[in-house]
Amino acid sequence: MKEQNAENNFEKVLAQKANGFRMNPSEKVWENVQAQISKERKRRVAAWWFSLTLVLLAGGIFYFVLNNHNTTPDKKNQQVAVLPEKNKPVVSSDAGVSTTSTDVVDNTLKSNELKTEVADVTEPSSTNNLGMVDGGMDAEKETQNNLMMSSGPVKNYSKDLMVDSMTNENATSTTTPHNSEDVTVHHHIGFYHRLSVVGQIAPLVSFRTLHSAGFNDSLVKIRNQNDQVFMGMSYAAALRYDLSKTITLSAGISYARTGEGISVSKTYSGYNDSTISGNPFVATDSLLQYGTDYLIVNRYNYLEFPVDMEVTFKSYKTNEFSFNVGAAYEMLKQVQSPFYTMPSDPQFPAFNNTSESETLRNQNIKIFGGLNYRNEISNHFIFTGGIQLNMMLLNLFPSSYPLNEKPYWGGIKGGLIYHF
Amino acid sequence: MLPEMELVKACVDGNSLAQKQFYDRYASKMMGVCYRYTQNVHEAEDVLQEGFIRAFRYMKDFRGDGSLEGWVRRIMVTTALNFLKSQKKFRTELEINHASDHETRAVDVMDQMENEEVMKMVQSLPTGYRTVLNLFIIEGYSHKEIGDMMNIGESTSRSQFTRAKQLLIKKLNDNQLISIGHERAKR
Repeated sequence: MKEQNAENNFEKVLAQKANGFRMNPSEKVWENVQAQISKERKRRVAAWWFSLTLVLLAGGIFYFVLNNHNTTPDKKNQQVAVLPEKNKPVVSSDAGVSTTSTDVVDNTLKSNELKTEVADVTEPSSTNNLGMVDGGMDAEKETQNNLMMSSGPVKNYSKDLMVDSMTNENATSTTTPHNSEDVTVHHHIGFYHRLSVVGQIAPLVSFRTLHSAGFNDSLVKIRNQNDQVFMGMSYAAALRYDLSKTITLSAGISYARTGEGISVSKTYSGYNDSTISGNPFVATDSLLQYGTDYLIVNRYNYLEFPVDMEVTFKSYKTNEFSFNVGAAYEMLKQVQSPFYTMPSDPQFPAFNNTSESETLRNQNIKIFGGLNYRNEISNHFIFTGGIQLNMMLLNLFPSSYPLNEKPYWGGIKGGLIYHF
Repeated sequence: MLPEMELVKACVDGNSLAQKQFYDRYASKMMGVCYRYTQNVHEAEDVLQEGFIRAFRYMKDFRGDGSLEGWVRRIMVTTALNFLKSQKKFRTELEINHASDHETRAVDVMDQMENEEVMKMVQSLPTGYRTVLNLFIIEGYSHKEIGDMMNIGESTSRSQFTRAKQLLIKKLNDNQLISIGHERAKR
């Protein structure tokens, strides 16, 4: 009983002494705190502006294209009716904004019994609304073009698209006899001023290297280097706008989740003060000693809002080769896998064989570039594959994710794009 | 001085005066907390700075269920533990197998000492011992909670604590003997 009382008294007195202990920090602590919270606030505001800009940009493109589609056709010159053999109107391309269904035209083409009739054509078309010369194409030819386009995946199209498809030497075509003229059916590759909504599902393999700042003060220096390999899936949706035959702009949202990845972590650490002893990381002066080398298993979740420009430099039939550059606002979450185990380290028994699940969150602005291959496998589906290199341009929260070098990571991915 | 919730709201809104008031209200007390977990003033200030940055970052999540001081204190303790983990300072450095029977005398010695002196004694303990001692006696965590926080077993926490206490008692008694020796030398 006496021992128990003594024990309780000891703990009680120690707690009192500790709770009564005050210590004034130096002025620079508040200065640093204030500077950091001010910086984080500014970055948060910058991130909001960036997101808002993305939304406005996407909205602007959408509005521009929608407006363009409504005004592109030359209404006066294109009162076109497409009639089957029995003179029954199948589709009326009223004012050039075609409502022709693919099925109807496909059936019509199969029957090889097309007849075209041009109504109310008062003068030949000379230019389109972008000032591109039509080459004196007459109304009958325009009618043909309407038919050509109807086989493509896009239901709303304009005269600009038709002209482009006619002049695109790389576009594939099939011909069907039709009276004295041929009807050409083009694939959509090579069109421009077309807006699409695309969805993409793609497996990815990512290689990533990180150099974290760790600590570096007058006493201690620690830095970590992580080389990581991950496999996962990415899901993306974007508004895609074909600015010209070769240049495409897109903006959208992308989510990727990797599976368990392997990370080789190397820790370099040492004391700056060589007089400190009793620690395995003792170093002379500022010389960093090689520390631990171990494997960590992590998962990553990314949510991105990318804007991207893609330039096609080679087209062949339904194949396209392109490169792309862009920037994205990226939100990152790192989840430590349940399979995570630290190697046995006799110096630090508290760290052995633990199964902690730490998470790390960060937001950053990244830039990226890549090489892509695309192949149109049907009217709606395009196979895509390529490599991409990413680099963090701006770390928005360096205090939670201290890095002393801008991390870069790359990967390969492949999947399907769906055009709605 | 603003009431707690109003102060929190003003800080979340980015009011710099409120943020300074919040800092002034807790800085010295939290510096004491950080100092107990670290090895020197410099490290304590690093932890304090990081702790306050986190407090401001997550302040919007404070719902007022408990006291603001308790909330800040938990952030500081967690930050200090992360700091120690990052530096891999948890380890059993000393083995003390003999039981101390000088606990009662140690309480008397401690009672007569200033807070700062006692904290210097605690400070001189190995990091692992000091951390368990702080978490158990001063923060009031159970050994199971400490085990979870430090990734060690409950029994390890218990034994670390016992050894930490024995070592502290030994240091306190040794300190008294040294003081007595100094007194005699003066005479």
